[in-house]
Order: sequence, then C-alpha cells, then structure tokens
Amino acid sequence: MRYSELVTDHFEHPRNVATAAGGRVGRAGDRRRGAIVEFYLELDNGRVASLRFRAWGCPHTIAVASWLTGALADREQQTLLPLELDNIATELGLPTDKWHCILTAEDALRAALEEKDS
Amino acid sequence: MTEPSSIYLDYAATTPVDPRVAEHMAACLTRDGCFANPGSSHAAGQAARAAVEQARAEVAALLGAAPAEIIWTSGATESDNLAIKGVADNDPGRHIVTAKTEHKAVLDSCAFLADNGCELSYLVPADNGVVTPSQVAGALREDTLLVSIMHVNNETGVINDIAAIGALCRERGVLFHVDAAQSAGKIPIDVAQMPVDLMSFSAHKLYGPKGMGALYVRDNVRLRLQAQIHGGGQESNLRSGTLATHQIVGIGEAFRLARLELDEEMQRLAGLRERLWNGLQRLGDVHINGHPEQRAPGFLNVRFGGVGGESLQFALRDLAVSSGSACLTTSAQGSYVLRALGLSDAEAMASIRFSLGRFTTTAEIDQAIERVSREVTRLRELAPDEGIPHAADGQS
Repeated sequence: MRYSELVTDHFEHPRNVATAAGGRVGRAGDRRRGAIVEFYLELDNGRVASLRFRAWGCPHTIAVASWLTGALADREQQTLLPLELDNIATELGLPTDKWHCILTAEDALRAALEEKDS
Repeated sequence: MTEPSSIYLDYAATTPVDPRVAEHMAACLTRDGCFANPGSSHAAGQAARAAVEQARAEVAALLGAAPAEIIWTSGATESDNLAIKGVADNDPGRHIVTAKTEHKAVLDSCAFLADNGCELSYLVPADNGVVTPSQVAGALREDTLLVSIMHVNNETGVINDIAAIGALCRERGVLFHVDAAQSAGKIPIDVAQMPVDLMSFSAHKLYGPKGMGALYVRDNVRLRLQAQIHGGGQESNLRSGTLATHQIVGIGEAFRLARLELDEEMQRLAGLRERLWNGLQRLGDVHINGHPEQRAPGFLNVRFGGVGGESLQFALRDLAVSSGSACLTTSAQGSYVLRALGLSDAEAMASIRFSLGRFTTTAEIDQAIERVSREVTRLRELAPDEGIPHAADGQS
C-alpha cells in the first residue's frame, strides 16, 4: 500500500484530536469493516465552531478524519453534506479501494449533525 | 521521507552474508581462485571440486549426515520442490500429508500434485501452532507416500517434534520430508537421531548467499527421487547444472560457522528475545502468537490489541520487521499461517514478527521496544474510547 505525502503527514501528525467529550458526537463504522470514526462537532450560529475527531483503522481513515477537521472548519452547517468524494480522494491521493474511509467519515459527520448538543 | 532503518529484526526473512563467508566466496570467483568447473578433470577443475566437497562435508556436519547425502540446490524452495515432486513423480497418484502452516514452497508443490492425481491431507495445528505426532498418525493411510512437516515455522518460530513424527512415519513405511530452512543453525539438528528422509535448507537464512541451498537425501531414499532439473547429470543425476563453486563454498562456510557458534548463539538470542518480550509486554494487551516455549530462540511473533494492523505496519515502517504476512506483504489479508492458528484477519494483520540474528545487539532491542511502544501507544490514544478491538475477542 502506498500513502501520499498528505496522508502520511496527517497520519503522523493528526490535527484536532478530541481529548475530551463535548459538542455533538457522531460515530460510524465498526471493526469488521476496519474503520471507526468519531467526530465531536460544535456549531455557532449555523457554522462549524469546532470539529475534532478520534479514529481507529487504517492510515487513510485516520488521515481523512484529521484532514476533514481542518477542511470543514468554519463551514456553514448546510454545506457540510454530502462530502465531495472525488475532490477529497484526489486531494488526499486515496486509491479507489480506500474510498470507504471517506464514507465512514461522512456517516460520522452526519451522525454528529443529527445529534443534539451535549 | 523516513530514513531506512539501521535496526534489522527480520533475520527470518533473510540474513546478510557474514563477512567471513563473503571472504571465502570472493576467493572462488577470479582467475587466481578456484573458478574452474568442478566437473572438469584437469587440475584446476579438481581444485574447485575439492572446495565443493569440503563444503558438502561442512553442511553434512551441521546435520549429522554423511556428505554423500547432501544435494546442492538453489535454495529451500527448490529443495522442497525436488523432495515433494521428486518422490511423487517416482510413485504417482498416492496420498500425501502436510500442514496448513507450511511454507508456500511446500504448499504449492503439494497443490501442484493435487492437480496431478495425488490426494492431499492438510493438518490444522492447535492454536499454539504445533503439529502433533498424533495428528500425523491420525492422517496416515494405507496409500500414504509422504509426510511433509516443517521443523521451525517461518512466522512463529514454533518447533515441531520432528523426531517423534519421523519415528511414526518410519514405523508405517512412509517417507518423511522436513523443511528445515528456519531451523538449521538456529536449533540442533541430528539426522542420526531424527528419522528424516529428506530435509530442505537455504544458505541465506544463516548468513550465506541467496540462491544457494541443499537437500538432505537419506542414502536409501535416493533411488526413490526423480530429478526435476535435467541436463549434465550433476549431483548424481538428481540436480543438473554446473556447480556454482563460490555459492557452494559460501553455504559450506556458513554452515561451519553456524555449527561452531550454535550453542552460544542460541543462549544469546534467547536472552535478547526475552528482553524484547519483557519490554513489549509493558504496553499491555500484547500476545504471543504460537507456543510460548516451544520456539526457536530468535523468533517473537506478537499481536497488539487496540490498533489497526495496516496503521501499525505503516507506523513501524522504519523498523525492519515482518508484519501480517512474511511473504505477502503487499496483500491486505492476514497471514494464512496465523489464520490457521485461529486468529482473525484483523488480529493477524495487527501482528508483528521480530526475528533476531547474529548481528542483533541489546541497544537495537531497546530501540525497537521504544519505537514500537511509542507508535502503539499513539495509535491507541487516537482510537475512539469504545469499540476498540481487543485481541482476546477477535473471533466474534
């Protein structure tokens, strides 16, 4: 398996790792599918005020979740979904058999948006 | 970019050539050395022949065999092919017993025979990786021709009781082949005490050159073996091709050094392996794959709970170890050997084989412990608090 420089960077230096509960928590994936992503989302006036993550799985899963926390910062809530799969895959250099990592992240984000603030 | 690691803990994959071996080999290559064809009758050829026969005696000495029972090959893969297909060609259509944890060279040779009229039985070892004599006894039939069971497993280092399996094969009149690529020079072998008919070896697993191996053929079994490579009739017609004197001198010196240093090296490697295991255990949720005691000294195959296998492999890429599967590292599937021991695919993928060798130092072991501990801890801390897989419940 090859990993792009961006995936390697996010895998080795993940951004915005959640260290405590808070905000809306959305979780997706399971071990049998090889990926679990948890997002911790805080909204302020319909915009993303804070997006943090935790992840288990392959380097792509960790890198996608980490990268999204930066890419979606300050975005309007209505524009978060659906994720632009093609663009994300291209940006991160994901092979097609790793696109499910993005889908897991998307499911986690959707779950977070459906949550009430804790 | 990550710099290539200076820590090499993959000696079961291959070893560097010992400088003492390389020196002997180099002396055979040029005009002032024994470069001549060992098959030639002139003085230069006979000098090369003498070097070849000296090497044969050294290989035989490590095994307690007679020099005439050693056949040169290109490595253990060819030796396995010659032993298994060579016996079956001479007596086709019969039954063969092997195990699911064998090396691919054995399994694929057997699969080839299964496609060509032989019947195969594949034993599944217990969870500790040991193939027991009683399992073999239970699989033997009236028409069983051959049993092929490895001495030391290449992934787990687990040792099979070759003497006991050989004894029951002998009692039943069944030929017994052993892939000993991972045991030669690592644990004692004595074919005088082990009723083995055919035994495969590679030079590059014990500080000799790649592309060189040997097959031990017990003297009364030679006539039951069909050559797989035909040509000039070298090696008593069992393996044709001009003998590669420098390679042969290399395996000879490698086996000689292994014999002289075996006892001391076994103790040293067992100590280093224990140090590694004690260091890794401090992480918690770390488990040995295979029998904890019945193992060759240089092997430690462990699985780490709470981390994704692919991430673990990538995180440790600057450490020269084997992961998931030793021979199929591009595959996204767990090792078939570890799966045969009852591990889930995820557990197999989250497993690392450390194999220590002649040049491994205490400082390298300590650095390896530090790197693995740092990365496993980091990945565990990154994982969600719930639903983190643990090795113990991996079967669900």
